[in-house]
Amino acid sequence: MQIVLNILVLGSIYSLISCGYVIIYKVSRVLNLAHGELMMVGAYLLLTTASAGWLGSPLAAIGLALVLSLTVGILVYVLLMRRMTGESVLAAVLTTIALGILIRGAVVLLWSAQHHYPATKLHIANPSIELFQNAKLSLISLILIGVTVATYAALFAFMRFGRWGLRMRATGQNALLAAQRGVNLHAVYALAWGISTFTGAVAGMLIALDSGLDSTIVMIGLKAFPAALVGGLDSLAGAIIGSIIISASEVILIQHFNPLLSDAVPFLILIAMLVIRPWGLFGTREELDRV
Amino acid sequence: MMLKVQNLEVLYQRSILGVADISIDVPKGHIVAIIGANGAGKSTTLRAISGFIGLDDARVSNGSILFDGRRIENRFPHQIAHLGIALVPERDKVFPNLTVQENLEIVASRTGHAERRHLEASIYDSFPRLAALKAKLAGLLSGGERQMLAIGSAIMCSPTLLLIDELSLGLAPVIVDDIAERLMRIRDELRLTILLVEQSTAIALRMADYAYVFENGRVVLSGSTDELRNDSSIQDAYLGTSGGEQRNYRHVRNRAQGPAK
Amino acid sequence: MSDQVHPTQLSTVMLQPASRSARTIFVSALLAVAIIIFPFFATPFHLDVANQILLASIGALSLMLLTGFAGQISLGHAGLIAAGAFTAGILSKEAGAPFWIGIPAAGATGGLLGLIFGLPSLRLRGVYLAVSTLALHFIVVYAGGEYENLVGGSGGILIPPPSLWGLKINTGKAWYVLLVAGAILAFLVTWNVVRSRTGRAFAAVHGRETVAAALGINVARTKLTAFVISSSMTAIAGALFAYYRGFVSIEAFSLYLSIQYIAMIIIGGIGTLPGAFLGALFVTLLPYLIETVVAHLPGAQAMAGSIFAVNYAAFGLVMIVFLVFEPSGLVGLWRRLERRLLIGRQSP
Repeated sequence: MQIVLNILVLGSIYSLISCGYVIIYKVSRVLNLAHGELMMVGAYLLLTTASAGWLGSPLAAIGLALVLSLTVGILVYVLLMRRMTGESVLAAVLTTIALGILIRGAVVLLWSAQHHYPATKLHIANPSIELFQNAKLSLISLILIGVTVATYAALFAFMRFGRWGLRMRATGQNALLAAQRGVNLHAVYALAWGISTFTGAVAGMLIALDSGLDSTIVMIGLKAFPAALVGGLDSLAGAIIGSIIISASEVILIQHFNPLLSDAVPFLILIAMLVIRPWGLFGTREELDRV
Repeated sequence: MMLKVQNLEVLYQRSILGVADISIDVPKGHIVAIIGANGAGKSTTLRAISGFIGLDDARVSNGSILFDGRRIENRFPHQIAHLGIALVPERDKVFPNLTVQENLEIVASRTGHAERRHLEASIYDSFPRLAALKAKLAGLLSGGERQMLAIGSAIMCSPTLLLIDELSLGLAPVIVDDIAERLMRIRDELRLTILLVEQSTAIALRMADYAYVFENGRVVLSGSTDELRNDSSIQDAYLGTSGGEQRNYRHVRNRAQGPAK
Repeated sequence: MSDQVHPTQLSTVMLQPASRSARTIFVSALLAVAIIIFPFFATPFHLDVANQILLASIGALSLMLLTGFAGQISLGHAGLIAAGAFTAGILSKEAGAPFWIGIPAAGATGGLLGLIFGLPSLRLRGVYLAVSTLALHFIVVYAGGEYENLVGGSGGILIPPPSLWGLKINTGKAWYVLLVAGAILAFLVTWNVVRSRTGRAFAAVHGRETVAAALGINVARTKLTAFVISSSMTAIAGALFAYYRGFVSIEAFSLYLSIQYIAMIIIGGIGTLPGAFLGALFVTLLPYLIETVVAHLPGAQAMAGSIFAVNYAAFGLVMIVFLVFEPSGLVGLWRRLERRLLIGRQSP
C-alpha cells in the first residue's frame, strides 16, 4: 500500500511540473528546458515571502509568491523569449538552456546554496498521516495530490471553455491564422509562459514545504520532462499518464533494484518511447512534421 | 479611397523579391479583383496587406499601404485585423482541431458583445450549413464547408474590408456559385468592401467591378470588369472562348437589394 | 530586426570557403607562429590552460558539426565525453590497453552510442535529438556510476600516462604538442565533412528540411551521419581528457559540462569552424577571469564558496547576450569589426 501512495505522490509532483512543458510546447512548439529552473525560482520566492514578517499569515506568503511567479513567467517571455519568435526553434531552445543556467547561478547568489526549510519559517506543521494500515503520507504530500487534481481540472476547463484557452489552442494549431483573426500572439505566448511558470512554481513550493529546498530541486524538474514526452508533448491528459508511468517505474525499480537508477529510469523510459512511439501516448502524430 | 497600395515591394528572407512596384486602389463599397497565374504575386500582395508574422520572414521593403488614409504596412496581423481588415486565406483557412462554433469564437473582435451576437447570427443565417455543423471539428468539414467557415470567421472580425485569397480554388463550380451568391448577400447586408484574388478569371470578372491583372509580381493590366471582359488579350489568355451561361452576381445583388439608389 | 541573417537559419552563408585573401594567410601565419613559440615562454600553468583549451576545441568542433551544420542540438555532450573517458579508463585499467588502442576504442564507443541514440531522430524532426541526447547523458552517467561502485568506492579510475612510439607523454609541453596535432586533425576532419557532399547535405538539411528532401537528400540519414561522426569525435576528446588528467571520475561529467559546450558554439558563432576555437578559448578562460575579478572584490572570502554560481550566471548571461544581440557569435563580431575598420581606413 505504501508503494502505491509513494507512486501517487511522485506522480502528482511530475504531473504538476510536466503540464508546464506541455503548455509552452502546445502553444509555441518550444521545448522549455529552463522549466525546472523556473520551478525552483517559484520555491525560492516562497522562501523570501516567508521571511517577510509583514505578510502575517502563511497563506498570504504563498499567495504573494504565486503572483510573483506568474509575473516572472510573463517577464521571461516579454523580456527574452519574445525576441526569439520568428527565429528557428533551435535558437529558442538554446535560449531556454542559457536562461536555465543563468537562473541556477543567480538563485545560489541570491539565496545561498544552503538547504532551506520554508515550512519551518512559515510555521507549517507537516505531520505524518496514516491513511491505511502501515501506509503513511505527509500532510503536504496529501495537499500536493489535491492541488494537482485541482490544477488539472482548472487547466482542462480553461483550455476547453476559456476564451484565452481557446486562443492558446488556436495559436498552437496555426499561429498565423490566429493573428489574422485578431489574436495578439505575444499576449498568448506571454500567458502560456506565465501559466507554465505558475504551475511549476506551485509544484516547487509544495516540494520545498515537504522536504526542504536547495538547488537539486532542478533535477526533479528535469525528470518531469520525460513524463511530458512519454504522454505526448502536446497533451495535458498525456502528461498525467506519462507522470504515473515514470513515477511507478522509478519507485518500483528503486525499491527493488538499485537506488542509483533514480535519475536514469525516466530517461530509459524516454528512450524506449522515442523508439516505439516518438509522438508519445496521447500526442498528435502530425505535430512532429511541423516542427 | 478605402485601400491604397502604392509601389509595394515585398522581400522574403531579406533577399527574395515577392512582388515589385504594385499599385492598386480599392474604393469603398466596391469589389476589386486581382487575377493572374500562379506565382504572379497575388497572394503575396494580400498577405502584405493583412500583415506578416515573424515566421514568414517577409516584410514590405518599399512602398506604402494606406487604409482609410492610415499607413498600415509592416504592422502585426492582429493590429490590422483590429483596424477592420479581415483575410480569408488560401490554405490553412480554419483551425482543424476546433469546432465550427469555436472557430468563430476564437476571433478577437473589435466590437462589443451585442455586435458579436449579431454577426454570428447573420453568419449562421447566410450559411445555414454551418449552423447545422456547429459542434463538428473543422478538420472534418468538406472543402466548401471550410470555405464558408473561413468566410464566416473573417466576417466575425467585423471588417470593413474583406480580403479573399482564392474563393473558387479546389471547389466544384456549383458550390462556388452557391458560396459566391451567399457572400454577395452578406456583403450587402454588412456593406463590405472586398478585394478578391482569383485564379479563375471568369469568376473574378463576374463578381468584381474592377480588376487588376498580375504577371510576375507586377500589374500588367487593369480596368473595369466590363472593359476587361471585352478585352481580346484577356479573353485569349485567361478566359478561353467562354460559351454557355454566364451568371452575373452583381445582377443577383441588385435583385436582392432592389433598384440601386 | 537587424540585417544579420540568423546563423541557425542560414548556415549556408557561412559555409562558402573563405576566399584565400592575403589577409587570411597573414592571420594564419601569425597564429601558427604564436602557437609554435607559445610553449617556449609559457609557465606550466599557462600550458595547462592552453591544453584545456585545445581539448575543449576538439569537443566544440564536433558539437559545431552537429549544431552548426546539421541544425541539431545535443545535451548529451558531457555523456559522450564521459563515455570516451570511461572507455579509455576501463580498457587501461582492466586490460592494460595502450593509448593507440584506447583512442580508437573510445571513438568506436562514441560512434555506437551516436548510432543508438540518433536512431529515434530518424523518424523525428526538430529538436527531438536534444531529448534523446539528454537521455543519453543520464544513462551514461548512471553506467559510469555503476562501474565505479562495482570496482569499489567512488574513487574513479587512475590511468597511467600514455606513450607514443616509445615516448612518454607526461609533461605539459609533450601534451601541448600532441593536443595541437589533435586539434588540427579534428579541424581537418570537420572541414572535410563540411566541404564534402555530406557537408553540403548537412547545410541543406539545416536550411529547409522539405527543400532538402525535395532535392533528393536523405534527410534522416544525413542527420544520423552527422550525429555519429560528431559523437565519435566527442568520445575521442573525452578519452584524451582522461589520459591528460590521468584520472576519470563520473563526478566530472555533469549536465553543466554539456551546457559549457553549447556555450562554446553559441559564443564562438554557430555554423563557423573558427568559432569552435574562439568559443573554446572564451569558455575555458572565463572562469579564470571571473576568479581573478572576484578575488579583487571586497568580501572575496565570502564569495569563495559560491564562485561556481557566479560562473553559472555569467555563462547564462553571456549566452543570452550572444543569442539575442550577436547570433553569429565572436566570429560575427570579428567580421563586423573588421568591416568597420576597413571602411574607416578607406574614408578618413
